[in-house]
Amino acid sequence: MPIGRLFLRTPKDGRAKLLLNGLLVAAVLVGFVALSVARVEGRYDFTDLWTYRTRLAMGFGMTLAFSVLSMAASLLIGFASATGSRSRILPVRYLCRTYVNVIRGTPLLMQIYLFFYIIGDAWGVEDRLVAGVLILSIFEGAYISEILRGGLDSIEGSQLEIARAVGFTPAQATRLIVLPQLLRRTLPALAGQFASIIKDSSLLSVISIVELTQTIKEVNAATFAFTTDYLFLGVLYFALTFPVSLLSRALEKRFAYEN
Amino acid sequence: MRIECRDLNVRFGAQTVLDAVGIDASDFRAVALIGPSGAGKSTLLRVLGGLLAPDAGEVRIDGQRVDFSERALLAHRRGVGFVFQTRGLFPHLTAEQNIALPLVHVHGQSPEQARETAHALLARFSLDQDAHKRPYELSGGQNQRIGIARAIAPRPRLLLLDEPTSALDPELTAEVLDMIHELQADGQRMVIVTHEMGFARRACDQALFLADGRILEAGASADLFSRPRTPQLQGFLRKVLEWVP
Repeated sequence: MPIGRLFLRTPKDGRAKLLLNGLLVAAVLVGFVALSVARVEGRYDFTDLWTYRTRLAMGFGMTLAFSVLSMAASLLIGFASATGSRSRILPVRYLCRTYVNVIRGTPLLMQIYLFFYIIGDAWGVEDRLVAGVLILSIFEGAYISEILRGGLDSIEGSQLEIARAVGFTPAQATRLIVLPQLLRRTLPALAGQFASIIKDSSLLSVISIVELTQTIKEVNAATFAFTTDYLFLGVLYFALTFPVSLLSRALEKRFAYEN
Repeated sequence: MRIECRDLNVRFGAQTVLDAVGIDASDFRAVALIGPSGAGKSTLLRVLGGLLAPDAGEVRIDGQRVDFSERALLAHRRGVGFVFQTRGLFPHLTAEQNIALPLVHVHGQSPEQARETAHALLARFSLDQDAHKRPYELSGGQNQRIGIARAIAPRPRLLLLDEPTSALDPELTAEVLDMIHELQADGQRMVIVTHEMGFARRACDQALFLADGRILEAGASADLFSRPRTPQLQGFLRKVLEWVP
């Protein structure tokens, strides 16, 4: 067997072959990072991380809390905006569409500064935690709005007519027919957006919210163990986002029949 | 059962879809609503089913005037079954759930009761093996039969069918028409929009001919088919029966 065959996908690949290829890619990536670290004479020092384990755990918990709260709030904002951008009342429609376009068209970092130092300050939102959740939810809500709007557009208008024909009230039609179909169609994309929320929350460190990234920054200022600190930071974020993207993929498979 | 319509008018923008439609059909088993495409057949059926309020005119069913306020229509729709031309089921629900969900939420049955009703109906029409399948897993004919089963599950006094076989191939058409015929034999009163002229003529005792938003002929279907009076119906029948042996 020519050696090249070892790396080609065929209909009946054994586990060993897949594992071999996986390990190969892992070795190259780890090797590249390790080599880079060696070239800049970085050092690995996990003792410092252990010393600051309580603070790290608190930072991790903070990121988790910010993400969960923002997921819930951005879902609400996104749903309101998605419904509003299909509204027959023109000012509502324009407001929602402007919101989506402006938020999606500008960087989160700029929004954080603008909201926190100008809008937040002007209206007395002084609590950083509240401001943080609000800013993140407003940002992610614009993306979720577009996901949900696409989902709503894809539900045939005839579904509402059928719901009326069988005697459902408008509220029942929404609860029993529209929402379940919307959820099935948008869950995979929503899960992807939730992973983004987790990562984007790292930018809140710029307004001194002590979430995971800010914690690592502070720890690093004391330990100078740059390599281990930031590699570990990556591992922690990945530990949060990877399950979400696995979930997203599983849901995509499960609901694929709809289309 | 008696259905009366007086001076029904429906306009979509500048277009008049139903133009002073008058109907008085009584003591019928099944009324076939026939006519060329775009004549307004589906629109008339939607008005009868309380899915569309006419711009003018009135509808009486068994002498009782249909109130087209949104609130009153909820009650009206409860007493009428509606079957759509195609894709009439909820795609996220199984066959059984499609039938049971309105029974629970509209007709006040308990979930167990509704499931039993659904199962009995599916079994009656040899659809029991499809109870837990979703619409995408079923043929067009099965979809339509389940749609019909859902429409009759609450025992409506009137069943309205909007071209229930026009999206099906001949074999599946026959299976759906057989089911509808069986319901007629059971005494289910119905109005059916159809292009199946054999079915309209033999299975329906009355017929209405609608063209350009107007009722041009009405009466016993035997009469309409054997002695069409208007040139429009004569022309229509000549066209649709051209290849019928």
